[in-house]
Amino acid sequence: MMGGVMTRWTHEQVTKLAPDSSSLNAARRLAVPGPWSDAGASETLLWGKCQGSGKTPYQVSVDLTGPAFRCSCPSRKFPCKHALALMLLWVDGQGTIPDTADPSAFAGEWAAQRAAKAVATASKPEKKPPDPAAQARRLEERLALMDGGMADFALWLGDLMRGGTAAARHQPYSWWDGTAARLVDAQLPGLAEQVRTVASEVRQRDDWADLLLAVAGRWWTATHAWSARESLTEHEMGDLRAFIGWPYSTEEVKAADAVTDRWLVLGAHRSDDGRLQQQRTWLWGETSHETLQVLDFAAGGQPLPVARVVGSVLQATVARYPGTTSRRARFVDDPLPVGDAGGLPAGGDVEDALATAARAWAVNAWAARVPVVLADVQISASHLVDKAERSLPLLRGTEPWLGMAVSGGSPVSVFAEVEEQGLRPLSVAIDGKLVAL
Amino acid sequence: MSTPDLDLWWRRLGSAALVGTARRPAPSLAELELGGGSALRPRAGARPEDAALDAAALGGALRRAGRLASTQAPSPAAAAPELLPEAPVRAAQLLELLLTQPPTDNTGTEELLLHWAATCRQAGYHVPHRLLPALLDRATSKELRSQVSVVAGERGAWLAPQNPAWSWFEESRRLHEATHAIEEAHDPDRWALMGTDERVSQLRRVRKGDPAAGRDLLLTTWNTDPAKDRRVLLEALLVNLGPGDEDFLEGALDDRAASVRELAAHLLDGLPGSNRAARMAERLSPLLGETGLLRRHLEVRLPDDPDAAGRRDGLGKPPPGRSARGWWLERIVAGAPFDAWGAPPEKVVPRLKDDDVMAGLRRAASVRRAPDWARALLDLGLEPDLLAVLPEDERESRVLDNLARAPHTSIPALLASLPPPWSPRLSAAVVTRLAGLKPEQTGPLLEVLMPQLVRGLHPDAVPALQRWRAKAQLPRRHDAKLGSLIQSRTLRQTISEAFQS
Repeated sequence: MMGGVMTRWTHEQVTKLAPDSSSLNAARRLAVPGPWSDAGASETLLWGKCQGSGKTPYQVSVDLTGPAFRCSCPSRKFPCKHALALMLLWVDGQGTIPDTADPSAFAGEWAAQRAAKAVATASKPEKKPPDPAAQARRLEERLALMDGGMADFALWLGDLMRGGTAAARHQPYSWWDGTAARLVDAQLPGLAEQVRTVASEVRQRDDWADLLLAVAGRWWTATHAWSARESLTEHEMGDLRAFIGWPYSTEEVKAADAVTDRWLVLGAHRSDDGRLQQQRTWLWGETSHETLQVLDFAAGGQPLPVARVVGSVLQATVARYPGTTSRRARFVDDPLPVGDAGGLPAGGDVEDALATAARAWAVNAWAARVPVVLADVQISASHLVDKAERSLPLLRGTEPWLGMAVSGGSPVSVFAEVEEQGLRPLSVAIDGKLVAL
Repeated sequence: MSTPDLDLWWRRLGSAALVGTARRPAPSLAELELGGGSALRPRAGARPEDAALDAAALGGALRRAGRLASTQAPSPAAAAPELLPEAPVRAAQLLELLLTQPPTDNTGTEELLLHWAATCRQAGYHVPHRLLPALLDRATSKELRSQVSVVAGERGAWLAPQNPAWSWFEESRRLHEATHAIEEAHDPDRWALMGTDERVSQLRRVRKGDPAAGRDLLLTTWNTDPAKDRRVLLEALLVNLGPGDEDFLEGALDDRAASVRELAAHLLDGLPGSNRAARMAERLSPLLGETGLLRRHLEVRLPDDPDAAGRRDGLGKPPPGRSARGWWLERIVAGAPFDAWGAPPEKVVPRLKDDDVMAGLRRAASVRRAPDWARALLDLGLEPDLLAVLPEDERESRVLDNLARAPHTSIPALLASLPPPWSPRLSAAVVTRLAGLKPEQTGPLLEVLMPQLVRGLHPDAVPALQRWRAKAQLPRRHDAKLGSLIQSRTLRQTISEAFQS
């Protein structure tokens, strides 16, 4: 086995791929040599045949750097238990799966198909949108709802300011939640979510008054921008839509702005507020030098899609959502893993990171966070500190320990999200590898 | 625009917002001096609350974009380079598995983690840095903490003190070093500064090599140590207890703390050549019947109330539920030299009936480490304390003999007399015994025995375990326990091998 790949995959990484715990349990039972034949591993591929209940064994192939999976079984789980089991056997099986450069025929063919597909995707015809008249009518109804909701919200902000933030702080949660519920009804779920978040923060934080004042100001700009939306550019409208929670349909995005590049997976962050799980993956284009975010959501106990391996490089075409900076993107098709990044793109010091963030916020004041690469910074229990001893605090809820453990207080390159209150490191480059935090 | 101006203006805006613009108007945007003579113009005719919101929007944006880096946070000191190599890849994967997806129950995982850490230490490696946080979080038992504090390496020693949740680390590491150091000068100045746990382990260590030096160390602080410390430190004299300790222990019989006096008397049970032993012999001889060696039973009479000297020698208040005279008899027998009986153990022990006498003899045989008396007593019934006196192979033979015929409920106590890990021979015998049980006995016994099996069973016993499991068809819950046991024994072997590569 080539050292780079072998050492990068861990048992934990494999188990994180599981769509749910029952798949993982089923996979553990299959992760023994018994049912497997014709199995092997190369630097990028892992394959094997798994004897199931039927006569013909299932053919399982895993593209390791993606990761991407194929299995001839009928399961709708992705990855299925066979692919998970094969990976578990590979990481835990003490060489049960032999290393060889020549994949089995079925795995080799699949890899070749994937490569060909990645090339062909760009010219794929688009689906024709259904019934333009009905669409236009639905849009009009939606806009009317949103107009009303925005006007109400502006009045609510005025009341908040006239009555005072101290009084608002003593309002019961239902007062905030009622506002949020009206925003949801008005198809403004992004604002509703922010109102709920702020409601809990004003009760918990010492600096709640500054926070509420600044957020109220930002909400206020959204209400004004909405009334003047005719004058916004397409990209400014994209920023506003992301802020208030008016999503673009897949077709709208795919039709737009595609860009093909080799994308380095800089880092990822998962959050779960009980209702909604969110996964944010940051990509950096080796040619375009553009940083994009891919957002995935899952609600009601559904599993999030497979996380991209931090540090891998993906050959992919992504469609960019309208927006000015830190744009959201989605993969047009399955990305093709093409290798490993040895580290992070060039970064700056703390001043540079703040300047980058200020520039981004000058363009898009509604962006919650700005991605930055910091070079030569030390990770302490509470801060990142650069060579000039300038520092930024870690955001609340950020665990510094893994970053400290791997860096040992030595200067390292770090990929992080800068937010108003501080930053959140997401990966750190150590010994020619990118470690996800 | 200078930041202090903005801050001041923002604070004024903040206090207006706090009480509400109905009571206090917000400062105007126009008052905000921007560089180069430019200024923000407020919207004409805006209501006070709208003007405040305008101000909040612009002021908030300015503050966020104008944020300055802090210069207060000190640069962290870097960790020292590692002195040992990182654990092999395969071993690291196994550790990660144990930490993130434990394949067995909690008892099994704890034991495997201990085994991982002990093997890592012996093989001379350190824990991979990326696994340190999870391992430090997982180490909650004293034993695992002690091992982890060593294999965590230089990086761990640097990292742990920075997280309050890992504050146990430094103490554990010192303690481990004190326990395992071969050559370390016992500096009396440092002795006085050590914590009690550390002093106990230091004292035990010194006693192993040089009992007199250990005693001297103890004496340096004896007069100032509180009773609680004197008690636990005195207990460490049991290591290599010898005639040289007599004077000190004799003195401790007059200690001001009852708990210390009592323990000193107990320790003197271990010195059959001492003056106290002679005094006990004098107390014992009138109690022995004049019936001589021809009688089938040897009668031992109960003693009278002790005098002041007897009380000083440990004939004090009996434990709850014991008769006072019976207790004194036990203490006299335990303290008197064996030759007070005038015959070898095989001639004496079988003729004794009295429980108090037997208890005293057991005590004497175990504290004096007298194998001949221990053997004679063990022939009457298995006692873990007495087993410990015997050489290891003899000890195991005795357990093996008893294993086959002892009632199944006494198996845990029987096995408790042999420290884990067990030999392949004993492990095989244990599995055979368990496999021969009635199905309704197996489950409950497994529950009790599991911690011992997890630590004791030799990996060679795994095939036998697997055969038994396949045959036994235990109820699901107990079958899972057995599966977990097999898994952990297999993994234990795998861990050992991973460090050999």
